[in-house]
Amino acid sequence: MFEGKKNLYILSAIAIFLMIGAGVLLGYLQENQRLSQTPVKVVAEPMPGVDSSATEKKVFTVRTNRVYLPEKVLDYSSILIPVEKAEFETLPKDTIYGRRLYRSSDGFEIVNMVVLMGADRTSIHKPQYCLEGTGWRIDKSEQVLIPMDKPFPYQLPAMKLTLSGYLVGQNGEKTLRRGVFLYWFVAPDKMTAEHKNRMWSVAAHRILKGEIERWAYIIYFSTCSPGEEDAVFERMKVFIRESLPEYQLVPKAN
Amino acid sequence: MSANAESGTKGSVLSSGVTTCGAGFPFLGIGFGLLVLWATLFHLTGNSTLGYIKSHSLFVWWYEVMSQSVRGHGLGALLDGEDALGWFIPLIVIGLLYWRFDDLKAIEKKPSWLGVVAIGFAVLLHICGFLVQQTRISIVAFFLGVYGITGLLWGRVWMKETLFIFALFLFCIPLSGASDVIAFPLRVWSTTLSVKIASGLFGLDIIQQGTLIFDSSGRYQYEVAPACGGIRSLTAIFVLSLCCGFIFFKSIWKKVLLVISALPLAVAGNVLRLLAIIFAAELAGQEAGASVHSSSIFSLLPYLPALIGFWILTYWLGDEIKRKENLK
Repeated sequence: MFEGKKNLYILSAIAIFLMIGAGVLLGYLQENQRLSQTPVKVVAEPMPGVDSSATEKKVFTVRTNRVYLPEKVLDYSSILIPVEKAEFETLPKDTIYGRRLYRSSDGFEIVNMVVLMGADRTSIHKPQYCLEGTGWRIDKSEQVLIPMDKPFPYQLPAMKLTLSGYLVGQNGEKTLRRGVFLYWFVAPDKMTAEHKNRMWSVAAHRILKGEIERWAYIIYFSTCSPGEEDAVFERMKVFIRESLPEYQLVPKAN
Repeated sequence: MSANAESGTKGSVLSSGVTTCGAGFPFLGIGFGLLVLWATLFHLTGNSTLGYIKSHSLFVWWYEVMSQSVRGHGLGALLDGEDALGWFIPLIVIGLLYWRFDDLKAIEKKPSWLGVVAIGFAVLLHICGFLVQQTRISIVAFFLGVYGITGLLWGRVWMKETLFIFALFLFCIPLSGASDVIAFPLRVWSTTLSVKIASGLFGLDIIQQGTLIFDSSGRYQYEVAPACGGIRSLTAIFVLSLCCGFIFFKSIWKKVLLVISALPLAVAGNVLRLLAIIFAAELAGQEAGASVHSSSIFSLLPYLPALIGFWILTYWLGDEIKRKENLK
């Protein structure tokens, strides 16, 4: 049916139109992105950063806003943990952070970290990569439900990783430590402990609603001596029940 | 004079070579133009994620991901990465095209709508990949578009003949990090089958716990680590099946059968290697098993069932192309 150069020119013209059209459309979409609401509370307070690799540690401001994390929870007081320069430089520029180290009156410590994505989904990645990169070994992965009572009773789905690692003392002696690492992902209208559910949801939301669904990655982490993992997990659950409703906006109260 | 004559001769040899090469392949100029435009699209808008790799270029993204394992370890590490095969795919494709050069040259070529349809589909796929921020989808779209461009120029028969060779480009997609979905079940299958054969068929007293294998007396134990799960041999065997299909068969169903057979053959190969480790450990303890594991000769075991399997299949299904040549 289509023979000769005339047909070739017609087909080539259509192909060129498709290619240029795609370029123009993608350029437009890149410039006109619509973001969803944030699933966590963001406050206009500076987020500090630090360059630990430098001979003199330099503290600087990473962003002028951060995810709100309460300063005091139960009998825990807290300090801000700065974002490492290398991490800040690697992740997309519109990533918003929140991190605090909480210490109770008896010395028990919990780290709470939040990473809120902007327009780029690569702000959030699987914790498995970082943990193994920082010397922790994942002994066990399990999905758990944490009973919450605010804003109403519900079960929070979380991934619980039990970790092992060695703490190196000043004289080079190694002490075996365990870690309890809890994480989950939250979007403006949903929560999941599964990385793949988040990925599918981001894709479906973008295609079906034309909007970038903003997810936050929430972490609670504590370390302990071998054998204390269950007790630590129980203390973490009590802590999460108090601290999380202060900044996670999902589920919404009716 | 002699120098001029020599360069003139060389020039004419070269140009005649180009002419001969291009003779069976019309519209190369237009094809090149379309290819440049297509590559430009992916260079400027190929990647929509700017974390880790801060470039919109699909090619920069691909290079950065592929060379991650090499960084800081020298070029020697190039072949150690899970995605190492990806570097060689373009060369394999060129080699295969050269292998079938005369056949492909003889195909009657005329512009076809099918090529434009493939380009249109590739554009849609790329838009989806860009929107959902999955650059790997855009890599598929890129190669589909290249296939479409050749189809636009040379038509349906060309597309049918080269479908399998273009499918090889799928192995250019870096899967490390995203390969857990395939690699983990593969590890579990291989471990389960190895333990079942060793205990059920040979009566060895071994126990499986997930991807961990140990004997009941505690003499040895092995974890089937991700690197030993067979993902590398699986991809290599899939590539081999596509190559064999392209070289030996014309019928699509025979090519497909060969590709389908790659998965069980890859699992069989991995089971064979795990069994060799178990038997060595059973006979001479943990160290002996570890020696088999690290032996470069035994590391070729996973490919043995595939080579035998493909040989039997090509023999059984009939070597169409060779037979055709013999008839000539």
